[in-house]
Amino acid sequence: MKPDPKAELFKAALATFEGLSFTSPTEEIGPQQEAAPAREAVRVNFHGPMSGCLLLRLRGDVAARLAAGMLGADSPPERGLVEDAVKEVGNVVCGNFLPAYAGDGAIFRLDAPRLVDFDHEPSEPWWQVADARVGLDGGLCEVRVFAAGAVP
Amino acid sequence: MAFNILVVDDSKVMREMVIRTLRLTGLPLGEILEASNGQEALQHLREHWVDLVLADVNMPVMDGEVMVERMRADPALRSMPVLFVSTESSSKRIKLLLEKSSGFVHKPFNPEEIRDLILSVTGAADETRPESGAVQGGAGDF
Repeated sequence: MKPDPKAELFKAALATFEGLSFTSPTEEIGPQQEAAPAREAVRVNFHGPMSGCLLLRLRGDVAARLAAGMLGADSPPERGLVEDAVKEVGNVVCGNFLPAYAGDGAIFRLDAPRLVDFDHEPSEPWWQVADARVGLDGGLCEVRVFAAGAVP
Repeated sequence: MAFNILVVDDSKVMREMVIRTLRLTGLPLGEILEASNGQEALQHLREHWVDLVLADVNMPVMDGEVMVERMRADPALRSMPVLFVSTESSSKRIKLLLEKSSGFVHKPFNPEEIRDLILSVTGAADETRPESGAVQGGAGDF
């Protein structure tokens, strides 16, 4: 049975936030979270049996809390570390989603994650493989995966 | 015996996380060095005594795999334990990485996993627990 890409992406995002930053992400998203302001966005390109990118966006002031959770810090870390943390979250979600979706034997190479404009969209003619949203304290995370070609 | 450890990752926040986790293991730690890519790591290894390397796989300038290949080609570094710390989840790829390294830990990880794997690959006795015993290391998962 083929894996459900949306479900796999959601699982990857949920597990990443829980495991990396000890936050408690939720499936439910409330109106305040929906209305949270656009903040950081990260893109991770991947290459392998299928090539494409993962786009992860954060709404609300969640990044500093995320970074503090990852570092075990009591106060918000410096901006450089916060941005690094957001990139690493994108990296981990991508790295965990791809084998779950494409199969255990599929080998992918991920480029270094990079921050992009919140409204960034891939200019490549890729199709959207999956999308998922996760509620976070003070905001939410939206993840989308785009790729070329069919699932290997 | 205090472990001198080199942490190699292009992400500063991930290096800090690894170091924080190492401190939570209860293992006796000596000097902890950091490098942001394989090339920097090799430079550190030539200048400092290190008992163990914890390295990411995907890094710019020189990735973890090439770094380990260079280490294995150097008589002075050949037998140094290297643990890969990565998001990699493909069992096929993990198998390939394990052929080059001493062990693999999946990101993110917990202190127990890291501790048990370090003790396993270094052959050190576990002085953090009342009873010591050999623990099988290998790919971990969160």
